[in-house]
Amino acid sequence: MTHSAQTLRGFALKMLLSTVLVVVLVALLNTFYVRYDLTAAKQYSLSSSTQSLIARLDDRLQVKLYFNQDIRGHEYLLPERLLLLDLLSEIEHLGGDLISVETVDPTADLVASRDAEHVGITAVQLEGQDVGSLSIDLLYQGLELRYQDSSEVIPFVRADEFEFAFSVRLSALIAGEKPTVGLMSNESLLPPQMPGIPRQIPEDRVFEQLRNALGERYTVRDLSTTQQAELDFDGLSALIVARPHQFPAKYLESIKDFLAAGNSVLLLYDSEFVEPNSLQQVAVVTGLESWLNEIGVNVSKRLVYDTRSITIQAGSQQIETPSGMQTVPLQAPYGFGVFAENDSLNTEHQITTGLGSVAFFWAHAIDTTALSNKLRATDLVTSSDQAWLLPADSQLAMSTSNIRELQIKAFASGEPQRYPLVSLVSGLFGDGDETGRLVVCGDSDLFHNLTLQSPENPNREFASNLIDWLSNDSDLITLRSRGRRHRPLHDFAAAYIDSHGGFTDDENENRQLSKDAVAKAHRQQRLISAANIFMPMLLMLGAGARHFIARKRKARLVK
Amino acid sequence: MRLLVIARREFFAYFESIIGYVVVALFSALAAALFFLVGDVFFSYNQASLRHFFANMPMLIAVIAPAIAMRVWAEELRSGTVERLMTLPFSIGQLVVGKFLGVWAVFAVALGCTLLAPITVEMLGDLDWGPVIAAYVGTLFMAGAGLAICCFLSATTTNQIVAWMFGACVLLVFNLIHLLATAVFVPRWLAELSLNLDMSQHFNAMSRGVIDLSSIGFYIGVMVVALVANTLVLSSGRFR
Repeated sequence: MTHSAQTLRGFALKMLLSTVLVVVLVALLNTFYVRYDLTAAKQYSLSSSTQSLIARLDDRLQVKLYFNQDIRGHEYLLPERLLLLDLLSEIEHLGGDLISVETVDPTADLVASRDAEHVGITAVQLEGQDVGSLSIDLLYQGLELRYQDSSEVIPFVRADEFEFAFSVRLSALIAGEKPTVGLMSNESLLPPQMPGIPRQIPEDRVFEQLRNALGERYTVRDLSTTQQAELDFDGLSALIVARPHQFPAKYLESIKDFLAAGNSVLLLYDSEFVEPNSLQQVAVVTGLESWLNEIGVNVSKRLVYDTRSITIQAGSQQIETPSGMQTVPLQAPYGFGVFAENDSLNTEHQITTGLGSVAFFWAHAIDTTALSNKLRATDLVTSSDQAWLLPADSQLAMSTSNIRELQIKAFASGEPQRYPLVSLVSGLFGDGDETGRLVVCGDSDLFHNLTLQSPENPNREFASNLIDWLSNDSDLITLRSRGRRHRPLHDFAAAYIDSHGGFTDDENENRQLSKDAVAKAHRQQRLISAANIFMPMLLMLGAGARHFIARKRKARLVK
Repeated sequence: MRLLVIARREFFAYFESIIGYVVVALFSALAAALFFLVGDVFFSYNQASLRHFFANMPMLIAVIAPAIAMRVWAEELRSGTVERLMTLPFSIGQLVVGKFLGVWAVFAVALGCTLLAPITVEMLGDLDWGPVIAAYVGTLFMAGAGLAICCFLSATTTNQIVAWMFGACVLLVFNLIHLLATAVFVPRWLAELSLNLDMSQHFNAMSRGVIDLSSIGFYIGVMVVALVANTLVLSSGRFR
């Protein structure tokens, strides 16, 4: 063998050896999932429950994201969409060979469009941003998960709820069945389903929307107290007692045993029924008062009146306009419709931390100051600190005169204060040695069909959070507020408008001010861009020039 | 210590010519221009984030890293100073690593010149510095891998322009190889290999604030392989 051939052989051997070593090192690092999430909110850190769910996959999970790429005119959606893609990428990375993610655009791909329709993913219609036109843009943001023979769909996935929605569905796909929640009420049971005949929902089933909302992730078992039969509590992950009325003692004993065994109960308590159309009140005897008092929970019979409340249409009035007399609706805050937001929501607790608001109708205050030693209370939702208690037999009418009357009554009834409306009581119930959890909600109308009929109603999220937490899925719920924090840039246009005293009543003046503000903002943006492009460049070239001049001078001196 | 002596010499030698200043100035200007001007992405995105700033880094490095590394060995080979270099009391491996560290430091200076961008964004909004740090670390490692490849390629030619073109082409391939995965009829193993070999794919997670040890390992691996190849090329005179 010649010298050059030996050299070539040695070269090839050493290269091969070093390459093999590096490949082994990289492969080893790939097997250990070591990632450091440096984002402030740990946005890309998947929860341990998601990680363990993915570790349980023993077959390929196909994730299909229906996502239209062209969202011109709706650029404000970009940060959330980017976060969504990033989270999917994290999940794909974690899943390795077992998770594949495919993104399709139903607005550009006919097959994808048909698939979306087939699985139940529809586009959200957005109002077009074009000035002078009424164009409607379609936004697809749905997700389909396929695992073995089953599939789950998230019709519209939001970044802040993505991991939760994904994990819950993945959990259902792996388990093959949903957890069961019991709903105990004195509503009548659904009639049996007859083939070919649409099922009639009895009018007294006022929590049907709640059942539907929970039904997305849970199997809801109806436990009607109107039946004389024994109720089946077996396999329940949580129990909801909705608007109890003359609660039979034997069922109360069942609830006590359920709690003592370390289970969870959500009690939607009301001292009266209010008929939504006539606003007629019917007093309720729950049959649970003595038990609640026994454990130290006292639900007031009086109604909470709050200055931070829902605005309702309280009649109408005739006003004169250039085109003649017109009837316009009168909006007024209805003090019995408590609107809990910001400081009214317990930000320390997983149930309420990510919530925007919760709306109540004719709520009652909850007092847990006399709680027994074995129990501990946490207020989840309260009224504002400008609230009063008014007698239960107060007029509930939503007219301007009654609203005024109620306000006068409230202000005259003494100093305002903050009242707990939803409280969590946890600890050892009865003779049990397992920690049970009881959430007492001083209102049942917040989950009434009329309240929950809108899919966007925030009370739906509150209901889901409550049941998710009570069903022990508390580790997932912390992920809900992910990505909600936006970091907008300084608004030069708004600052300009503010510095000029803001908008006035003069439309022409306002238009000119807006135009000037936008022009000013563009100028500022151009200045920032130019400074960033040219400043470091000029500094570097300046440093170079200085160096060469100094070198030349030195050379001259040496000469 | 010996490595640092060589690295220092290389670093300062770089700024003895005007090319060093021009390349560094060009890099910072290009990075800022792509971020602030192209497509008006930053202001329309309206978020205090440097995500789009770092999104351009793989391509920028594909152009700038060869420009920084092109003269490392090509110039020494052209002028014949490589023979004198070999007589110095350093091993070839030390020379290779030392010179590489020198050009890496030059790139670090160039990258440092882009710090005005995060400072500006911080002044305009509430910037999350975690992702910025992760992205800077990622950029440094990705550039390290690119520079090591370009140093190796520089040792295979006596012409700096050829070294630059060769380096840019190889780095572009390393940044675009993931496209192979999207092609139809590509076997899965090849698609996965192409994704694993792609430098920009490894940078994606870091550009959003997640430091992935396997990606850092990949970049270090590329550096090691390229530097070993560089040493071997210089050791065997026949490849010059």
